[in-house]
Amino acid sequence: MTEFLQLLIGALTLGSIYALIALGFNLIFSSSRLMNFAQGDLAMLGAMCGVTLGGTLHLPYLLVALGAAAFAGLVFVAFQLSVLQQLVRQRATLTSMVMATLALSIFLQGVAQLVWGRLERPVPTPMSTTPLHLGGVVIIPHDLFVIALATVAFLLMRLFFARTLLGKALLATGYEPEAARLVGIDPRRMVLVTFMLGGGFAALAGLIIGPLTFAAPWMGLSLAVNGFAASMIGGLGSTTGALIGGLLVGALHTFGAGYVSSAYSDTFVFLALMLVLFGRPSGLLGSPMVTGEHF
Amino acid sequence: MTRAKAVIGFGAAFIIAVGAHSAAHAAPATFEIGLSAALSGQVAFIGDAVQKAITLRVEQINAAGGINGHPLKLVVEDDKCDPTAGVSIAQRFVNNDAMVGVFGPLCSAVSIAVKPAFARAKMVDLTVASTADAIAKDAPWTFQLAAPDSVYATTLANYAAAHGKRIAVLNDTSAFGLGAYSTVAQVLKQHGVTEVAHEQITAGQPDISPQVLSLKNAGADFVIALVLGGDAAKLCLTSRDLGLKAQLAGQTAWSFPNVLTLAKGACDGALFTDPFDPQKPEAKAFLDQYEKRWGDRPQSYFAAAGWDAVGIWAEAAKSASSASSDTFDQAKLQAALESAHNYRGAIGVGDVTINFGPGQHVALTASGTHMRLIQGDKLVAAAP
Repeated sequence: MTEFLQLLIGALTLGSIYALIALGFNLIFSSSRLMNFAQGDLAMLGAMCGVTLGGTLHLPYLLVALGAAAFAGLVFVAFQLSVLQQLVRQRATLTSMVMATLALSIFLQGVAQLVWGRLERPVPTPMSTTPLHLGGVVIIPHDLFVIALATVAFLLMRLFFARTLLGKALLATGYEPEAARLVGIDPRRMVLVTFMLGGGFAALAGLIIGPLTFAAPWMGLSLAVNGFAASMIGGLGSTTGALIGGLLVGALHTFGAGYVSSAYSDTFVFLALMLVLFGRPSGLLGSPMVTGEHF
Repeated sequence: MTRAKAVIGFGAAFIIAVGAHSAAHAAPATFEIGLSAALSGQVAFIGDAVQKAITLRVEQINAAGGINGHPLKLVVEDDKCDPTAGVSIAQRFVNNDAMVGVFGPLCSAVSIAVKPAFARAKMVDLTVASTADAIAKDAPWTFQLAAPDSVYATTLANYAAAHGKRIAVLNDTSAFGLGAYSTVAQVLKQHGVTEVAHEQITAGQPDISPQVLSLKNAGADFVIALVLGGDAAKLCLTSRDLGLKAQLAGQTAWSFPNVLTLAKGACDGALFTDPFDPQKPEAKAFLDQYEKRWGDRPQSYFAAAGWDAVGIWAEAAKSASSASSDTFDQAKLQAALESAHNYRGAIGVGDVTINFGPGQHVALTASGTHMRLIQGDKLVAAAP
């Protein structure tokens, strides 16, 4: 039982991080139908902001978090305005735009290597590093922080989509941009808002995973792959789906390595992804309406 | 041009040419040797130590009359531990006619990347600190001074078999981790040891607590950890947090400052493989000279490896050049290095000597390496 609880803590922590990455994927996909391959690298940028703002400049953690989210969000918005808008004007296909996000991913890794170096750097945590012992289960305070932060982020996003006009406008743009335009919603503005939010959530995920994994220019790939798997399993475009998908991926990794074999923990995740996609191509909670291309 | 002017011009050119020729005989040309090292970024500490050791050795060689009378000039380039930068530096070295010796690069990825450039140019490269097994394989022009990963893996497995009762192995799934694991498994089998657990992680994996729990549940008292950098630090931290009491032992890179900084003291008491014993007379003599020249005393093997690289090269270079000519024959250098036997260097432990041979370009075997212990910011000898 102790071992199960110990693994559960790990699964929840890892799941929360993947869920946040999946949330960012979903936000961007909701408004633009774009799969963003640079999502993991925006998370890396968040972790690196933690290194500089928290580790070097010793700013208060709230400022570090806001700074990291704003910086990654703005980088992504700048990419949208300079590169993606240009591609739209040239009537490029969605595939070309997805490739452009891949280019952004490589670019960000190169820049990070130049600025922060090739090796891992420590990322500060606002929590104590002394572990808590609860009946044989060891809990690292930072794990609780990760779980709490992800919970708050998801509750806020649900409220945002359900209660606010802007949230509803974003969803409308995703489903039917022409109709949204007819009722006075500016799809381009909506896309910018989601890019800001998507980049910001990625950075937040990177910032909070940093104390566990350390920050390195190449850390984005594994985050993006698992976050992508989480959003596909949960269903593209669904906020609750991102949460469920993230937690499922975290659980498969942790329990798979703990109870079956650490050599195959990645395999379990992608087996689950394939099984879900065979049964429900749009993911567990994804809507079949989430198809087609419009930018 | 009049005939008289032409004669004067020809005469002047003749005098200049003869003058230059006799000047060349009067003073043998300076030979350049190149060092490609990471002098910036997080592994700059390796480049710095190697550069200082090589500079000191070159100063001593020049004071003793150079190589067959040819003074040496050291050219240092910063490859930033980046393969792209390394290849462009290697190309510059190859294109430089005065360049007769190349040392480095010090990072494995860069050492592998520059192999083809030196092979094409048929120019000898002595890598100093790189440990990948691929460096000296199928590379007639590349020599490896540091012990390669498979040698370290053998040392680790031998030590574990002698000191551990319940031995477990943790490796990452990179080429390094899988390669080292196959060596460890083989050596443990030779000792008749069955590992109580074998766990794997993906390099950079966010959470390794499932693996650490499995090691703990298996009752391991000695963990051979074939993971590097941040993963090594993560293993130390997670083991401390989850109460895994086993002796952790890793590769030489565990003792690097970047790992110790990330681990914040959690790697204290961990063992690591090392080809360096500061108490060995040759190592001690080198460290004394280094300290006198630079004011500090390196704890790791890099500086000693740089020192030995130039030492062994200088002996071979004597048969690849002559006092009467400014030419330098790389093929003769390669042959002389391949016949270098029983070279007693600052690296290697005990009575071990460096021996190269045709197709054998690795300086040290498992008997030339031992285990050392991390104790705060000190690296000390482990129980033999």
